Amino acid sequence: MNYPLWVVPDLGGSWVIGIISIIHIFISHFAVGGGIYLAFAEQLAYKRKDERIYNFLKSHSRFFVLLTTVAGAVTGVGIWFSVSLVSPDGIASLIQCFTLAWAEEYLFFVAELATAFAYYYTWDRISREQHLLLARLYAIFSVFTLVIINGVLTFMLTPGKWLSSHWWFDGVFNPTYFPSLAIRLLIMLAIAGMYALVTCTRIEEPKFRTFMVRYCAKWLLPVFLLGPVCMLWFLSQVPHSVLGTIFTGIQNSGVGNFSILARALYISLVLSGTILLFAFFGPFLNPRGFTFKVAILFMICGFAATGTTEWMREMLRKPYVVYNYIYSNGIHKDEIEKIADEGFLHRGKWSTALTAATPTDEFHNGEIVFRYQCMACHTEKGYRSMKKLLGQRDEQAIISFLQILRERDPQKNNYSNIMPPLAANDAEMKSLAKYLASINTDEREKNTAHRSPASDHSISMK
Amino acid sequence: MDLAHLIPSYQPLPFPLPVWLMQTLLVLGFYLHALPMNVVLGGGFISTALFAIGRSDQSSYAYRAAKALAVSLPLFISFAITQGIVPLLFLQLIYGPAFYTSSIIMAVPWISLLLVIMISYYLSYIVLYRTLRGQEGEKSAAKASLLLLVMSIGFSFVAYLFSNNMTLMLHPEKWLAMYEHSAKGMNLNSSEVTLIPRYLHFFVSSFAVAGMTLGLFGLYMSKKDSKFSEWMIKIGSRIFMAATVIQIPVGLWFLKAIPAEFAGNFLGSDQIATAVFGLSMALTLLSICTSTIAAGSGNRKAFIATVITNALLILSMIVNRHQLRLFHLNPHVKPELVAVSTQWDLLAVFLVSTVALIWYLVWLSALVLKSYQKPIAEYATNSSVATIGEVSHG
Repeated sequence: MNYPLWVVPDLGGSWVIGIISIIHIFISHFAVGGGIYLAFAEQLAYKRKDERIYNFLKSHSRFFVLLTTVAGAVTGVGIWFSVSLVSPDGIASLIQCFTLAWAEEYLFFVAELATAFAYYYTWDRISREQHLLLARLYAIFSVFTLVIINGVLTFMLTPGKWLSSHWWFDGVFNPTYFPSLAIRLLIMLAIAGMYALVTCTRIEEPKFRTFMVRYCAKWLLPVFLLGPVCMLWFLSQVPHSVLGTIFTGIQNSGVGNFSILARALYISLVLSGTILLFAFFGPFLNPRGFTFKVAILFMICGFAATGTTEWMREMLRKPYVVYNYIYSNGIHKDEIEKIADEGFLHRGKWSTALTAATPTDEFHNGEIVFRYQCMACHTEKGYRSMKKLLGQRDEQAIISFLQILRERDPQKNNYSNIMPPLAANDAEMKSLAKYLASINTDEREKNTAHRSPASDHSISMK
Repeated sequence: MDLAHLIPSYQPLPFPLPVWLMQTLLVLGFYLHALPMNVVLGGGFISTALFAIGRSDQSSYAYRAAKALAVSLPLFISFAITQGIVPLLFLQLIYGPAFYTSSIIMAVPWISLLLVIMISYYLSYIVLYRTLRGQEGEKSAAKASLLLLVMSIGFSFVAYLFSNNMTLMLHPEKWLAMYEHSAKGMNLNSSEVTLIPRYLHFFVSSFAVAGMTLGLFGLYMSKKDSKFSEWMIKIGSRIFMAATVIQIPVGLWFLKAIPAEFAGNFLGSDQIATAVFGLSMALTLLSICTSTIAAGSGNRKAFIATVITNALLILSMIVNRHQLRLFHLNPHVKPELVAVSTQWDLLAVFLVSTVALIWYLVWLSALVLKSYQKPIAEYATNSSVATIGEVSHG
């Protein structure tokens, strides 16, 4: 409402962020885990006095540098670009709180990149002792970028004491900071192992390939052993309402109103389990039969698991950008009551400007309310399609449903855990209903013959 | 409509630093971004041309200089992207209400620039690891030239999109009509009168900076190959001189295109703006003189004087650019009205870390540069591996 809203048909703005983020997360986790891997593997080369490991690392490091410095860096900036376009109020709040934390991360990022290049360009040019030092420095710097950005990421789910103190320290070192850091580090090691498995399968000498494949498979073990413990630690720190959302979802899977989160959890667990079992019975127990194609399949599984898990993490935060502070549609929590009394459209700069010329055009006003309050998560006919979700409801049925959404009391509004309350006065709510009713016209017409009055106002979120 | 009603509000949170400090960091950050960015933009085109000129003889100076530039481009691209983070951070912080809005209005081209950067970036690596690998000949030189041209066109397009957004954020009066034209973000600020001269002003300067870089490579080579070194300094200085002379009419066009009131500020109405603008003009003339000497004789001192003058010139031009932004935005966007609650603790950590980082980068650069002065070490024998192994576990 404060800014113009970027309309992304079918896909929805959230997926623009999502696509870039998933790619970035998969690469950046590799950048950190891979750094640790390179340092340990180089040490292994010297310890075993094995030139073959040394030479393997030289070729692996090119792949590493090319992937992390180009695609990793550009998608990292890309997340920032996309969030600025989709959620300007959210990112502006984060930047204003954590400017210097971000600036500090930038310093580590510069050190990380400079070290990556120095490391890559000095194979055989400096003493091996110095080269190993560079590898270790790279690993340390990259872990520090995680140490900082993890504070901002976890802050969004559990801002903790920051909500009252507004002190950056409370925001960064929030309740889920440490468990999340531990989980991410474990995942990073696993991803590093998975990437290295791909390059290992290219080694021609069978005996050496077998040795390296087994070595890389070991990198997936820490997450296997410690992952569940860290996950329980993480869950013990998230708000109760979030846990409620997950478990309600699980119990009502398939019929419940939030079964999609439970499904994502299943997919994430199944994929992660598959990878780990696969790693144990494949490259670890039977390294000889592990081929390039299987390694790529492995990576695809890893990519899908990362994507699903990160998507779930985002879903857990619903309906907020910063939990209990700012909703996913950019409205501050403490504004809701006032908006319900005074109206929404005149509150924001751009919502006012966009409706100023047509104050009595209900349909247009409804569209503007839809953009600002619904489009952060929904599209008209694509992702989380309103057309589908509305089904055959007519305008009156939609109004009844919107009245539920407008309730701030969770007892009366069972969507309050996943959707921001509708912040609108009566006239705006009617305008929104008018607009929404125009989206599902086809559905209504198609089923006129079989239509029955909508007595149940709940919307299935399947 | 009153434009004040279109400028989004700041967040209900205090700024973590005083506005003057954030502006200083914005200007310095942009300076550190502009240097490598210019090398990439101009260097890509110059390398394209030099590969085309020297394609039939791989020992020719043109070919060798083209290769030196092409090989360094991926590093400069990485610096440019990394250094872009600081100005972007502070631009969003101080001028977010204008910048977020203009970005959303041209969202599709704006976000697409990421893809263009990535493709161009990978092209620079393809030239390095595919085209210039193995047997080099006329064919590979022509291919490198072509790939670098595509890469450079990509980066020119990125620069064009940046010019679009940086000008659109200065014109709130255009926003509503453009957004109503396409809420899907399919807009460009191509009707802007200052767009082309502003874009050209940056584009031409990239050739000057890349010319300087070529000369600096020459300076680095002076002990190894003094003739080639002299040639690089001469060619680099010539490119610099030509680009700087072309900048004079382009700059005048730009000055004429901006609103008369703002042009007046640079020409006497505003003391600070006039002083910085005067300094820029003086440095321009000085750099033309010194580069003329270096271009003719390959004189190293004249070249170093040009490098220093140019470094100052770019900084003063960037201050001018910031002043122009202030003239545009001052009536509408008022960061000075936002409360400030300075995070002294983090600021101290940041300053100490900055000093440590600079020290580290100096050490690292010395290590790398020194390693390149020596021929590549022979593959270490098993015995030397053993020595290190013992060291790291001893």
